[in-house]
Amino acid sequence: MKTTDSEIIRRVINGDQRAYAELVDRHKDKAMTLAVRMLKNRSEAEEALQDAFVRAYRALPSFERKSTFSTWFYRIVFNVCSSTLNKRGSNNLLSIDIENDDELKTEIPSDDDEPDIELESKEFSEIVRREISVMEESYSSILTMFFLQEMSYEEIISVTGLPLGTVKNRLFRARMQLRTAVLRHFSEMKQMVNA
Amino acid sequence: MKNPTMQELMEYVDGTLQPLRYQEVEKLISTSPKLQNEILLLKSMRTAVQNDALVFPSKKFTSHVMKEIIPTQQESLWFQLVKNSSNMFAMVLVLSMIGIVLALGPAGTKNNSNLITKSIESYSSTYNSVVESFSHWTKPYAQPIDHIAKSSSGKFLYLGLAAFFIFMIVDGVLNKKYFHARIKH
Repeated sequence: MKTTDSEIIRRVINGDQRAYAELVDRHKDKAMTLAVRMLKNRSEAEEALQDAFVRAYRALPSFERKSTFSTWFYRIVFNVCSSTLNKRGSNNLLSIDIENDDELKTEIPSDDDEPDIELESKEFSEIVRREISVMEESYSSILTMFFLQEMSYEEIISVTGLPLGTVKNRLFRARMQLRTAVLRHFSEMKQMVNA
Repeated sequence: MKNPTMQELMEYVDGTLQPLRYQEVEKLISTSPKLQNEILLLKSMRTAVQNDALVFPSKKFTSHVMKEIIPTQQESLWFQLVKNSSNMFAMVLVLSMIGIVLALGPAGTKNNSNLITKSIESYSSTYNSVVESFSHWTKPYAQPIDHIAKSSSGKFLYLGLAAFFIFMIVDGVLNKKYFHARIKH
């Protein structure tokens, strides 16, 4: 049976420092993906992640288990990456969006000439991947937490400290950006074929 | 029944739409190919994001983190033993040389002409004078010690003592490092 995060944490706090390696192995890949999506730079992301793991280790005795370890840890990753962006002078992660409910009430666009989209093609996945890599970090980070980490709105709020409206807005815009990119690509493909 | 907004369709896909509205939207989707296409697109986007390859850190990432947390954790006792072997070998070498010189004593100073043997000669004269000055103190014990040294059990005793001292030196070096690291942490 797989050991739970809580059991590993208890072992670490009781002096088995090496058990922490198991916790690192368990969370490093998803956390690295989040860091890369936030910083858009692999080496900076790895450095930030290493820093986050060391900080988490030192703060482990103060971990109150009100949330899961992953949520608590992602908050540290988010803060470390946020500090890195601050140093760069390009941090818009924590800016609170002006809540625009009208935007969320957007009706389904009526595309008269809808392209044929191959939903399960490699091409489709590639467009999504490429669009995420160039997406503004404030959107791609929320998108990653929601889809990849499968966090709830409450968990994202706990990690980022952003209000619910901002989280919802960013997630909505990120998805609309992906949708637009996909439709644009397949429309262009259709035009090329027709030409 | 009101047509769903984009946000409602997204919430429908996520399963976070209010139950009552969820049922209404479900009915609308079942009768509208356009809505069905939109749902398929949203679901595919969700799958694509979830399946988007994870970005892996470098292979030695975990050991780098652990090295920062526990600086000496990779240094096993054997690793420390090898690391400190140069000091130990130097110590053993010095002790051996002293032993050889002591063992040779005045006997090794015959027929000498070069600089080295001259220095040994001077050493042997010092050695003789020191031995002579202490001889009347050590005389009562010399015979039994000599007897022990020549017996086979005595040789074992000396070997045992030598092994014990070497063990003490090695243990001291290792424990110093080991406890130092623990206290530091």
